[in-house]
This record gives sequence, C-alpha cells and structure tokens, in this order.
Amino acid sequence: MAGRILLVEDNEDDVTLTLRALEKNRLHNDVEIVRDGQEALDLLFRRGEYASRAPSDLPELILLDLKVPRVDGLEVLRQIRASPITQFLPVVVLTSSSQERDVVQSYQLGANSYVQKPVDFDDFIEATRQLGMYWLVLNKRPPG
Amino acid sequence: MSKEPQSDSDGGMRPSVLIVDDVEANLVALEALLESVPCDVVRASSGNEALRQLLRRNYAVMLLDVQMPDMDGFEVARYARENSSTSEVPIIFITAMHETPENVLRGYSTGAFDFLFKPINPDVLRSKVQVFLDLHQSRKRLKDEIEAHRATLAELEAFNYSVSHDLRAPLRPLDGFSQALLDDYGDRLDAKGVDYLKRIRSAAQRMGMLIEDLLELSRVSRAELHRQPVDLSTIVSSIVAELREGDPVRQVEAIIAPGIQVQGDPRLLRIALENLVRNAWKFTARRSQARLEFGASDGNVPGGTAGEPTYFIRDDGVGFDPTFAGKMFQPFQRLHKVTDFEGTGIGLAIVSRIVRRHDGRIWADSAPDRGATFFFTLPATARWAG
Repeated sequence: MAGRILLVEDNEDDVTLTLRALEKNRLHNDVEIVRDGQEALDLLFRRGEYASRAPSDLPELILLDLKVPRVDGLEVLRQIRASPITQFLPVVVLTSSSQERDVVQSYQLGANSYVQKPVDFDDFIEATRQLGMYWLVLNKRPPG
Repeated sequence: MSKEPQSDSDGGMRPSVLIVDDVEANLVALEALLESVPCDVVRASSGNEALRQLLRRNYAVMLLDVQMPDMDGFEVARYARENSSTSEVPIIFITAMHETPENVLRGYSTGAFDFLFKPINPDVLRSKVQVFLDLHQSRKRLKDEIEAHRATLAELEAFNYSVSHDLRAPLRPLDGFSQALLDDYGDRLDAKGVDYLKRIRSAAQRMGMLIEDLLELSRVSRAELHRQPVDLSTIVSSIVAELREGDPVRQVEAIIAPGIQVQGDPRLLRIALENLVRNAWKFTARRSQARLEFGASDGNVPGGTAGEPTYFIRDDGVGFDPTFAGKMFQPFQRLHKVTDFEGTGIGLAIVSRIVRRHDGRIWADSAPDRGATFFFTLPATARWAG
C-alpha cells in the first residue's frame, strides 16, 4: 500500500527532517520514501520491485527534490505529466534552490507548487503543514 | 561560413587581405606593394571569385578594382553586403577619380570602406591597408575578450547554481536537529545548553540569509534590464502595507508622494525599494511613533545636482555616523551591531547595484539619532513626474 505522500529525497538528513516536520503535523504515518528518481518512476509506473502493486495504489501528493540521483527531479516530473495514469497527481517541488531557472523549469513541466526548503526548521514545519492542508485536505482532485 | 578555415580564429595567424582585379599585371603590382605589410595576400581575378573567397575566410580588408567586366566592383560590394557572413568586410575601392559619384557611396551603409585613386601611391595604399589591419586586430581582440567574459559569466552562473543548491543544504540539518534536540531532550539540558543550541540555530539561519542575499546581489548584477514605465509610489505603498501586516503593533506614519513615475526595470526597482523601505522600518523600530517618507525632488538636496530628478526615502530612526556613509554601499559593511539590528549587510549593496544599472547614483544623509535619508537618481528615466 502506497502512502498518501511520496517523498522523493536522497539526502538522509532531509528525509529525517521532512519526516519530523510531517510528524509535527500528524502526517507522517502516510509517507513512502524513495531515494532516487528512477525508483520514484518505478513505483509510480509499477516497474521493477514495484511491479506487483495495484494500479490504483498511487500517492495523493508527491514531494519531489530536484537533485536526486539517477533520474533527476525535473525528468521525473516530465514523465509524471506525460502519462495519463499520473498526469493529475499533485507534485510539489521541495528543494534547496531558489534559482529562477529551477523555478521556471519546474512550473513549465507542470509542477503544482515550488517550495524552497527553509533553513529555519520552524518555517519548514509551517510549510509542510500548509502543503498537507492544501493538497491533502482542501484540494479537490479530478474524478477517476 | 562553416567552411571557414581556422586561420582567423587562432591567434598567431596573420590577417588576410583580398585583392580583386581582372588584370593579372595589376594583381602582381598590388601584391608587390603589399610585400612589406604584415598580412597574407589572396588574389581574385573576377567579382565572382572574390565573393567565393570572402565566404572562405575572414578578410581584414578587400582591395576591389571598380572597373571589371561581367561584375564591376560596386556590384561585388553590394553582393558582399547582402550576405550576412561577408557584410562586415571593409572594402577599399580602387578607381579612377571620376568613377566615384556621390550616389554610388550611399549604397554602402554597412561596414567600412575607402577609396584609392589611380595611379596608386604606394605609401597611401600601405597606410590605408594598415588602418584596416589595425581595425581588424582590435575587433578580434574585442571579440576574444567578449568571449572570455561570456565564459566567465557562464562559470559564475554554474557557481551560483551550486551555491544555491549545495551550500545551503547543510544548514537545514544544522538548524533542524538543533531544534530536534531542544524539543526532545531539552528537559535534560540546563539553561546554558539550551542557549548554545539556540546560538547554533541562529548562526545557521544567519548563514542561510547571507547566502540568499549574496545570490540576490549576483542576480541583480546579471539580470537583463527590461525598461518600462514604473510607478514607484505604488510599489512603496505595497511594501509598507506588507510590513504593516507582518508587524501590526508598530506605529509608523508613512508619507508617500503619489504618482512618482519613472522608466526602469520594475522587478529590480521593487527589490531596491524593498531594501530601502525595510531598512527605514527596521531602524525606526525603537520609536513608539515612527515616520517614513518617500518622495521626489528636483535635486536641490544635500549631495544632489540641481535640476536632476532625485528620489528619496527618509526615516526618523537611529540614523548613522556620516563618516561611514560611503562604506555602507559595499557588501558586508554594517554600521550597526548585529545584536542591535539584524541584517546581512548586503541589502544596500543590492540597492546600489540596481541604481547603478539604471545609470543612477545613490547616497545618504544622516546623523546618529537624527534619522536617515537615502537619495537616488535614475537618469535613464529622464522625467520627473513628482
């Protein structure tokens, strides 16, 4: 069973901190973590070790770091948007950089939000709270 | 263009001169005259051949006989000008005096050209060719320099990118795990231990701010300038509104002159004004009733030039010692202790760069505890609508 949130992140510190921030907002029980872009695609498209998953077993929200090994975040995003199975999945780019190039490319490829991970952990908790509230509670998804 | 040999692009080669004449004896004579000039001479015995040659390499100058059968010199020049890869080649027409009517000259608006009159004076020929060789050299040098700058810029871009991604990342665990320690194990720490952890956090956050500000400084230096009409008053009003929202307890009277219009880059000007207004907000924090003013004048202000539209932001905050007024537009220069007023010391450097990019000037007027006024000009805007 997939979590409601798929976290694509290779940095262990960031994994721990993100889980902690989600935990503070009581969202941590529903998180599945993959450590690189290829694994994220395997999971979403039921390939490799994820081949036996049910087609309906998809996350409700993807938190995507841009700098992940093997397949980078932007390419993961592109493939998510290119497939009818995953095209409507909310993808929040959650990354270190505030470089315009990253922001613009992410939105061009169909990211739903772009959030720069704040250095201040309190701000990070608040950011994850708002993300969870918006994408998992308020946001209405297309049928099907 | 793709067939062009590397002759011109690598430094050591001599520049090339193309000589064009349908009479073999004239070509021989020209070549002999150019013997002492440091260049490679290439011959063409017809207009068509000349045009073919021009496509093969980058010539410093073409000596072009006007009177040739089939295609005369002016025609060759016209064709050369029409092709983007040959349009820049300088031309020296070789002609009898009566063959240079005014109307012929009008056609050659692009690229340099000159005339040599028959019979050819060897010294005049050599000095005219030399002029174009020098021009060619300095153009080439300029081109190389631009190329080098481009490469540096690309490197800088890559550097910024990596700073933005990689240098910032370790700060998050520094801050986050300090907070985790405080949350989960805070009860086992005494006040000193808690204080140390708080200091680690604030240092990490400060470093994060520094990195953001440095990236911003570098961004405003490189960003392309998109000039359009900008209403500074509206921008200042919205910044003040944001500040009020974030700090509703503060009592700050804001006097904003309406309708101050300039020509400039709206994004950059907003960044500049944001820094100035935030400073005014910050340095008046100790006043129970603070005052902040934005306006424009005709330059009759301390340090101004009469007649030059000058904009200003004034506050009645703590001010600063005017002895250091010049220093504060340099990055990392702070006139106040961090413990008194937080900040990275980069904000005014950002403002200064933005103003300079608009060909303007920024200066400040203050005394300790008597408030501060920051003046700036934006000459490119040329119009004062205040």
